[in-house]
Amino acid sequence: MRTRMHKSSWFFGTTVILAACSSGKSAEPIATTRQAVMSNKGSYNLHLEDTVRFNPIQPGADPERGRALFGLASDLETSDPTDALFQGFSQAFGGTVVSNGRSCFTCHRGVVSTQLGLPPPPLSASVPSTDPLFTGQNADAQGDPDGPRNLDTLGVIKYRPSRFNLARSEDDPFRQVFGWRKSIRLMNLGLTHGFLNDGRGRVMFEVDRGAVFSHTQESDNRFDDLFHVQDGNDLEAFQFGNFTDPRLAALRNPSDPLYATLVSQPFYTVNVTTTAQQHGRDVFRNKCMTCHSTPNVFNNLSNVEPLGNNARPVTNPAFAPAVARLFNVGISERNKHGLRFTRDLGNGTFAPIVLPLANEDGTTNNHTVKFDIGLAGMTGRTEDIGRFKVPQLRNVSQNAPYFHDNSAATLDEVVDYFNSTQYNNSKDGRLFPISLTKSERSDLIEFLKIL
Amino acid sequence: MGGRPEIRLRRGLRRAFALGAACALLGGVGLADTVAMGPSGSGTWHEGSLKIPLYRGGVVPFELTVIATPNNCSTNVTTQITWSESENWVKVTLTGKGALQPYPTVTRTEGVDWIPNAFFPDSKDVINGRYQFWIISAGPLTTFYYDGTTLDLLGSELDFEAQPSGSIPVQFPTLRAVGSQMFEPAANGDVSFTWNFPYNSLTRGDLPQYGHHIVTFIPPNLCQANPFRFDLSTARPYISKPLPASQALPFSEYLRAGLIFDLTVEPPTYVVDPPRTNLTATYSGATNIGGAIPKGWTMDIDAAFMNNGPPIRPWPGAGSCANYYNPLHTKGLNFCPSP
Repeated sequence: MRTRMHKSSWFFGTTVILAACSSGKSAEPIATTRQAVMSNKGSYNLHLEDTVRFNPIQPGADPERGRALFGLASDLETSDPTDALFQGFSQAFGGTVVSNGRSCFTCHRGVVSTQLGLPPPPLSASVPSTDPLFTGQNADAQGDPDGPRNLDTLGVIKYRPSRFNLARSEDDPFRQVFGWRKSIRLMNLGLTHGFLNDGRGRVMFEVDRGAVFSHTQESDNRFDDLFHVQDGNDLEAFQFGNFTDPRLAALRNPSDPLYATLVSQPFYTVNVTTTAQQHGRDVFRNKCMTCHSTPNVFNNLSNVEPLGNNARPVTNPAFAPAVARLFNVGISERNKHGLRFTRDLGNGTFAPIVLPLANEDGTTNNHTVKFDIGLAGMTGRTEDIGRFKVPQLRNVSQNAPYFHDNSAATLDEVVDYFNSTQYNNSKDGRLFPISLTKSERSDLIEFLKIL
Repeated sequence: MGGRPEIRLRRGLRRAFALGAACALLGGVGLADTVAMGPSGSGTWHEGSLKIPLYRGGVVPFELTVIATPNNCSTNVTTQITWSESENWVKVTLTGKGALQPYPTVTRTEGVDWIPNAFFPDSKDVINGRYQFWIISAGPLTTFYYDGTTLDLLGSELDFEAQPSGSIPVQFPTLRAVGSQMFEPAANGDVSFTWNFPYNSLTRGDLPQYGHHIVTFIPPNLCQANPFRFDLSTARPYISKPLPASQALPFSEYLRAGLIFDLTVEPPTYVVDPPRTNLTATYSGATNIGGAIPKGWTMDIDAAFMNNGPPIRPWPGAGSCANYYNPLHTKGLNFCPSP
């Protein structure tokens, strides 16, 4: 139970997030290894740079306590919610917060069995109906009639990215807009920039606090005083310590002897043994690494300085909701599952959500939401419609289904999508076209299987 | 996944691109500048360029007056910055057609659109004023002191050599702000202004013996501050004296932390010594919230501070062409327990 509001919390707690300290030295830039200079334009953050640096773990953070707060038992496979429920009286909430039994573990399960994610759908095949995943789902879906089916059969959860912007009214379209999105597997989380599918989490602290708010109870009220800075630091330390390959940890530490090798040899930790895999690696290098650019991890490396300079207080990240480079590759528009994106008014009635989005030319576009608008739900910019984070690809063969909406069941489907007209005609696919021959396709798949 | 970009530059061209792209994109300054355009940038913080249109009211902090601008407030100012760390130079250029009124006069009314603030000394009225361009960026956490009994703000670590006896120290995030030399537009309102400074030391353009100011928006009394909800708190502007030039920072510190730009209206003589700035402004913009601020929109400071979406919103003053005052950020609430 965490109930007291400390006098020392006159910091605006952890919610007043104005700016980042930006002293400290950069790590290794890899831009020199690339031939292309990417010109940042429009809603892309104008200060992105490809440098191998990641969010530091805060001094004094305790990963073991973080594991307990996460709700994961010491066996790293089963649930232990003893210290993980974030319930009790909250002065900020103005009452008692009820947990409904959910913890981080509810959506991010065993390290080995599910790589800190959910098992493949249908979830009811492996998760009992009495599990908080099902019994507490209204904390996310808040009565949406599609919630139970989408969760079970597709493994996607209803997210309202601007849910806790209480300065706007409950009916404000930015508070109502939502997406159906997968629960991301949290391996190699310490080697990424921007968190959540749409990158709106600037630092882990914000992500964890937001998750506690949304999964613990069904209202949109905040209870910051139940989530202390030390809680966030400890959770982050635990989450940043899970790697698919222990050697990858060196990427977080420029003084590690292996750091320079991992930076300069992007496939150093990938064990290529066959000719097909070797060819597939070359295909990957030529066709995929513009976006999957982080060496040995293969998510996107572009980032803003303040978050990775080893001088950032967890309470004080940069402004930007987009701290990395996000892309619209057309997955949202195709809406393969035919998901509904209208507002549930109850009694079987639904209303369109119309967002006033800002265009780069200064005009406003009233956008009627018909598919998951991705980052635009957070930034309010037309430019960002359908943009999502570039996922990391290690252990990708074990991470099915794929894409933010779990809309590809196999790696073959993923590769075929990127080789399709639909991708090549997508907003960002037009900038980064892909065309694979039959052999390139098969070799690439063989390579992806060993990542 | 994603293939290589269609637009490639050979390594040998990168530097030329970084330094020249903005010029090439701009061409000449003319009618094109009156057309709303998005921001663009290239290069790294070591060497590169940035171009961004500034719109009236793009960033409107609390207690700021945004004045009406010429041509029915329809135009904008374009900021172009190029820099080279290795050659130790930064060049800032402002251009705009009929964008500013020469020698502007702005009068304000105490208690209505000007509230005296000991922590932000500025001039109520500006008669035959001048303009100053500001580069603003994320600053360090700074300690502020509050009276232990009244809980009133006493000042910051920049105002006291040691913590005042009996005071409560509280840290707040801040911004760094550095002003250019003063300037005037041409008689027809055209703006053509250049500010050059060394990359390794950004000092005030008008008074190079000074570096940056520390600026923030903090509660004047702790009882008026919700510890977890900035949007529910009272927050007033604070600006420090300018730090000495010996503490000026390289331009990289500003680039790396994201940029805000403001074009202020300043009185013909400094109000205090050393000078601060005036809470009266014209065009502004930002690049540090995932993109620039479109015309007619403004940074939603409450949302940006709390990372709530979206961090931009249309602003009330955009629909008319009159002086606009952004009110005190006071909610009239008292978060201290009743006796």
